[in-house]
Amino acid sequence: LAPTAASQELFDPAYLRSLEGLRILARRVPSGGRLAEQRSHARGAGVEFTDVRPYVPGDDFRAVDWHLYQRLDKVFLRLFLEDEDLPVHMLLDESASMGQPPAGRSEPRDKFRVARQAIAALAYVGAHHLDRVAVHPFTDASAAPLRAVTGRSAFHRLLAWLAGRSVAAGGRTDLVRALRDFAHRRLRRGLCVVVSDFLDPEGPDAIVRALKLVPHSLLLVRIVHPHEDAPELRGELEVVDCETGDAMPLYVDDTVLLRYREAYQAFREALEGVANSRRGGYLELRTDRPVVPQLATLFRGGVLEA
Amino acid sequence: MSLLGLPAWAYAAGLAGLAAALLGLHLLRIRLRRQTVDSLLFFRQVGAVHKPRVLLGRPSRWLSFALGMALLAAAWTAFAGPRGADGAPSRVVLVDATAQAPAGSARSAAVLRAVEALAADAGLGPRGRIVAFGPGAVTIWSAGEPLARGAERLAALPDRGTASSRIWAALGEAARSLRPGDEILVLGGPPDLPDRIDGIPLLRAAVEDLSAAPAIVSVRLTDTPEAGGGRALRIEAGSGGGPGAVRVELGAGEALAADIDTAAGATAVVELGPLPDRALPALEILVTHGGGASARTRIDIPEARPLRVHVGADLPPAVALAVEADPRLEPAADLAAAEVAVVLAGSGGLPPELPALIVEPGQGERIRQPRRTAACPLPLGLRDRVRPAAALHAEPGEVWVEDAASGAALVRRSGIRIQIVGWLLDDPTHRDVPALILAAVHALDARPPVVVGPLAAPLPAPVAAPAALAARADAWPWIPVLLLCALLALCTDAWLHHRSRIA
Repeated sequence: LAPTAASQELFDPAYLRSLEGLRILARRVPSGGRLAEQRSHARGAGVEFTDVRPYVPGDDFRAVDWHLYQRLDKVFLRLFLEDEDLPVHMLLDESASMGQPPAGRSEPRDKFRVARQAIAALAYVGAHHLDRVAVHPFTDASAAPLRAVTGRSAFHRLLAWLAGRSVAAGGRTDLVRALRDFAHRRLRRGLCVVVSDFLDPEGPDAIVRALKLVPHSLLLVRIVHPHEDAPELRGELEVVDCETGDAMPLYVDDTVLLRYREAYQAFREALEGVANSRRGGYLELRTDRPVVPQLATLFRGGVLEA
Repeated sequence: MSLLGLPAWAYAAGLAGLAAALLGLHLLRIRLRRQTVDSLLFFRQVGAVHKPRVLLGRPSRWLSFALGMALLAAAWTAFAGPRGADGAPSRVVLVDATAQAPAGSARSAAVLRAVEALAADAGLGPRGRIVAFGPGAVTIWSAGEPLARGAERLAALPDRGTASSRIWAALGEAARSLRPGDEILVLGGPPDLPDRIDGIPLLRAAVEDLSAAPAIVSVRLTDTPEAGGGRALRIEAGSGGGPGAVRVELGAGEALAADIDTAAGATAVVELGPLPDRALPALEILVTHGGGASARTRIDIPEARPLRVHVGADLPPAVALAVEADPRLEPAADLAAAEVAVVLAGSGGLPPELPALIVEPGQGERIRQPRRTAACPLPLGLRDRVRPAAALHAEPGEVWVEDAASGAALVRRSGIRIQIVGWLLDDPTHRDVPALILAAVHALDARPPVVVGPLAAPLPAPVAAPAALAARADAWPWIPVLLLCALLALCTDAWLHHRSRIA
């Protein structure tokens, strides 16, 4: 790899090397892909023998099992499971909330930086095993996606692309619309990784409904600030949405914080539930901790089954 | 600091301004703190039932506001008047508007200058008033009005030729309207005022222009036995410095007059009389000054009450007849009801405090010729006679009639008793006998002289204006304490508020 100066600040080589032992393993690889390392159910030019069948005219002579012919005097073809690539579609939230420091604190803790690091890590794992990785940024407006890249040699292009991304000023989180648009695309089924804070004003129910529309395995990576489930707020406030500018007067006391935590937990459980039901996973990436160790929890034995 | 003695409107305006400032500060302090968050997603789920109650709903905030306001109001009240707007010490100024004071605009200007100086120096307080006394007691200014209004009313007061001074009534009314700690200040008035009226201190101040003006101090109605028993006027007046004249208008073109020459502020007594026997319900008295200034007053003459005289039954009838003939005397049969008794020496029952003419009977030396002395009020012309008669005992006293030869006393006054040798009454037809009896009876009249007023005086030597009211000065030490308390309370409140916000 030859990281650029811009990408090296975000993704240093040591960071990426720590990911080399990880792998995304698809439980089911859709047919129609290119030759890669994901084992598919299709018979083809794989390396893993699976069956034989009688020869019919037109079959490739190279697949004839000559040992079986000598014993049975019949011509059979050796069948192998074909190794294909896994489409990995990543949705990157570039809304303004991804650049907002945690409430009640002044020090910047950039969600977007963590999100890009997570995208890079997962893309590296995929590209390292010849999976096709595409990144679809979203806010409330459409943005050009990064077309699928595959292979280690093309990974630096993804890094450079990620390094050039930034939070859209005033961009609103419209995750629901982004998910619906993504679901309606005729893409080869694979793994959909949503990297976002999931703070769509539409609310938890709309988000869950939109997630269920996505015809891919779902891996939800939620970027959170520390203590986001219990914001360090107190007293009489006018809380302002950083994206919409909407203001809401509020008196924050223990009761409010308790209800806030309850709502937060319910939302988390809803996301986790829909992610688990779609053979994916749910991970909360805290901005105050290193990314790779947190991501590694998704990979049991170094493998993430999607 | 000169906030003392603020009028009610200024006190209220200042308090309202402070309250508005504190309220603005309070509302500014409890405004909503803006906090930008990632999303309102979860806040919306809980915010509907937890709206802030900034303005009206936080009792603790308003309690702190009320505390601060109370302390601020206390401090302001201490500045504006230590006892509060209504309880601050006050002064009632009594202004001499009697005839001896300058009239009209001159009086008004002089008094206005004095009152303005007083108000600027010490203030008149919330119950302060200016009352003019003279024809009556008239309030010409009350607290809250501009002083010029009082001057206008003072100038418009009727003067000259009014009834007697009403200063005592004005003093009593002023004392009743004041509270302990207040003061009464008199500009002018009689010189013999007490130090306190009903517990209220009474102060004097000078109006310079008044002391140099003609003034009528007092008018007394007196008898003039020398002039045949008529009445006279004893007038104490001041010319205001230099020669002047006192003139009494008796009506019907008659007048009595005398010259007068006193220094400024000084007085002299002038006796004018006798007054005519006809009824004189009122007199006009005018004191003029060589410079042209004048003082005029109208005196109502009260009707004289006859002197009740008891005449002993054992005395010659001529004595009783003489008493009955005098319209100024009234025979009294009962000794207890009498004001003067004419009794024979040795008669019992004479009260020791009752003035009495005592007739001494008895024989004695031969008297050659009675002769009146200088002390005798009558120009007697008793007939020379040689009679054996007893002379009066040589006791200390005032000899009215004596024997020309031996010098023995025949009529002598000693205190409230007059002794007369009895033989002087043996000849009742002599014209001097009834006169002597009546002169003695009138001389024994112990009733106080009729004072027909007015009682006022040119102002005494100018005195310094009274100092600031003592009660107000006493309250000053509390002001820093109140201010410190207010400051500490506000700082504590701000600190607690800051803590609650960062918690």
